[in-house]
Amino acid sequence: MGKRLLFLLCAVPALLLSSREATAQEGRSRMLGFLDELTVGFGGAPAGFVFEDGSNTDEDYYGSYSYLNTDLSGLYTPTVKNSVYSPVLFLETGTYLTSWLRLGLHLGYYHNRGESFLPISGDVTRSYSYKNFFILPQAKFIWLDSSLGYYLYSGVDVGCKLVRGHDGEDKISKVGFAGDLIPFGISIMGKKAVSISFESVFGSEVMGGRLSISYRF
Amino acid sequence: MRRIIIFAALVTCVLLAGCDRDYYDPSYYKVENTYHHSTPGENYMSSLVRALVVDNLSAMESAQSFDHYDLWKSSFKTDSYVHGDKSLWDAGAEWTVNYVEAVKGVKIKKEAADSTWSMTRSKLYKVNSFDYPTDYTLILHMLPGGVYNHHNWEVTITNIERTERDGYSCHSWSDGPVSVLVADSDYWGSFSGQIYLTVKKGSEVIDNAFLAFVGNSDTFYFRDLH
Repeated sequence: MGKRLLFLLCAVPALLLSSREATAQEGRSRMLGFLDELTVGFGGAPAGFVFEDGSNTDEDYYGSYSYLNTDLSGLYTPTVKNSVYSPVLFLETGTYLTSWLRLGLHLGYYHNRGESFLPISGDVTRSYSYKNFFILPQAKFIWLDSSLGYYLYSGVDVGCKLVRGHDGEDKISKVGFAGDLIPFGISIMGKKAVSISFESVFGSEVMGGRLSISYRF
Repeated sequence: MRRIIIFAALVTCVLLAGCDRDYYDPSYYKVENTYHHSTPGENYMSSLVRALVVDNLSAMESAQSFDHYDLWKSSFKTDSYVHGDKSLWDAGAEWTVNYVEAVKGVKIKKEAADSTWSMTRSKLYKVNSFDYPTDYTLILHMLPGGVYNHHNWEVTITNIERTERDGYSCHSWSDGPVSVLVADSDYWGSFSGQIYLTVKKGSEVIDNAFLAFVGNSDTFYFRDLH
């Protein structure tokens, strides 16, 4: 696992650098003719926010009647969480290998924290805080390059995430899989080297979309 | 371009502020130590007792149907549904009922030739999506009246012992019989009676509660009875 990861992390930047000359000769993205791109942006919602199931006292509904679906542990020492998430902030570098293929590296970060509390008294029993970093080699496929100043693309990024933080007294540090599917994205060019992009994202870190601003050089 | 950057920065600030909020209100779960409706503890007790009683009544009445049509002694293989040695109404009858999945394997015993049976089971039982070892003994006394195949009953909860995760366990019993009547529909909807519940963590009693069923509309719930 470690070697494969290392290979992936080394191979992508190497590919990006080695592709420069070839790309310059083949012709660049027809939009502006820039070769490389640096992007910053944010996304939402963090997938953890969407999928969070930290509660063992779910409220269920039966017709108009609702009840707490719980056991004694959930009743007396619940894991009901009061959670706060930051948006996913990210930095991206990319290079256009051809007029339709952009390879890049996506670096992301978000923070979530929260606490559990007792249902009887409302007293907080435990707090937790996680910092989530992820590194995702990325490929974007440009399938419409309009002369009106925008292009449409789809993409995919696959890599790993690092989660660090604490859960109560326990220190957490773990590495896991991370990946996103970008079914649809649009990038609108300014007159100069700056563009704004929006892309829909479904993945392990972001469920929803990402908005970003890019500088090309 | 400067405008675009300023706009993007503003949007980011708004989203950051919007994400930084609580979506769970702890006060929602607070329970007072007095008369209260729809509290988590009441939910738990009510779910446990109602589910257990209704499942066992269903098993009991399915056994009565098998008995009524003499299916229990037919040459067909009925052991997957019920297994009995004599008619359910005979003194000394002992049946095992597998017909209702939730209480599969429940034992029915009859002491005398009256309308009273005992039901016992010591296996996993599911309440609120949670399967835990649950031992119980119920005394069922059939009352006149009912709709279709459902009768009115008096159910005495002799004992419910349930062992859950993280060292929690509970013990519940009724103060006298609980009347379980067929409500407007053809199902048991009206409960009247009083239930006690003691909760332990390990060997320590951590809570006592009392639930009064009053017909088909209301329940009363008290905690911290000492």
